[in-house]
Amino acid sequence: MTSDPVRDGAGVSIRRVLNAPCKQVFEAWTRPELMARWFFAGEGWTTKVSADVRVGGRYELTMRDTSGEEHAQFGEYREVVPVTRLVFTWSFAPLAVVDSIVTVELVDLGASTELNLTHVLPPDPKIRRSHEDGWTGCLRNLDLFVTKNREN
Amino acid sequence: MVDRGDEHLDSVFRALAHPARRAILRRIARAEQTVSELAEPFDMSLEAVSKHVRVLERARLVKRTRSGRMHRCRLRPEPLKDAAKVLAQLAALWNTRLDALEHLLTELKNDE
Repeated sequence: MTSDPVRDGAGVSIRRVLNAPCKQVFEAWTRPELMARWFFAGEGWTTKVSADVRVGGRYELTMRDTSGEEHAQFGEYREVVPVTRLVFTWSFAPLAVVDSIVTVELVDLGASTELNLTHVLPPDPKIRRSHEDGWTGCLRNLDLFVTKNREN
Repeated sequence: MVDRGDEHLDSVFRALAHPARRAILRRIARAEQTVSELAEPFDMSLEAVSKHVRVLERARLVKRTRSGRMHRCRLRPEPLKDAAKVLAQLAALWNTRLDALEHLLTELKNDE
């Protein structure tokens, strides 16, 4: 996968066609018990999810990995349009990212659904180095996080 | 990377957040330009373009050289590699999660 910051700016865009109707995909994004099964899913990991899916409402996902370490992702809903659009802020400790913006758009294709996701780092990012290791550490954590996820 | 640190990456992402600044980068990637050459195709004052160039300079994405009254802008591509790496990691994270979402949707379908 290549990323071109000059083309895409400070963010990523991903498009997928999912083999499920729009309503079901939207539920997987918004019902806590379903979010827990994919958002932070990993074998042997426990995930706690709370989500108050309305504009201004908050969500929080806390995952404990097999070594007992906790990873948290949290944020606030900015737009909620069932069953086609969700915009929420995204703060994620392993990356030390605060208040980035995720937009999820769903296009009803009948039996399947086109999902368009953009994740944009804030124009004035509060991305800060944790005292000891900085971005290198953040990236290492994320590497580990992605690899752990892949192993499952 | 540790020396340049997070504050530098902050300034790189901040610089990249504006479409006009990305357009400037695309143009000087092809060839060096003076600030007035850069201003031409944009509906912007010389001053506004100059301001964008300063943001890009602070992010070390642009090197400005001066000969007489002419300022020439040249792309410094190195910080873009660090930014691309962060974005690629973010994309990898989402792709992993969306794989898990697909898996869940298949499970739900089989349960029906």
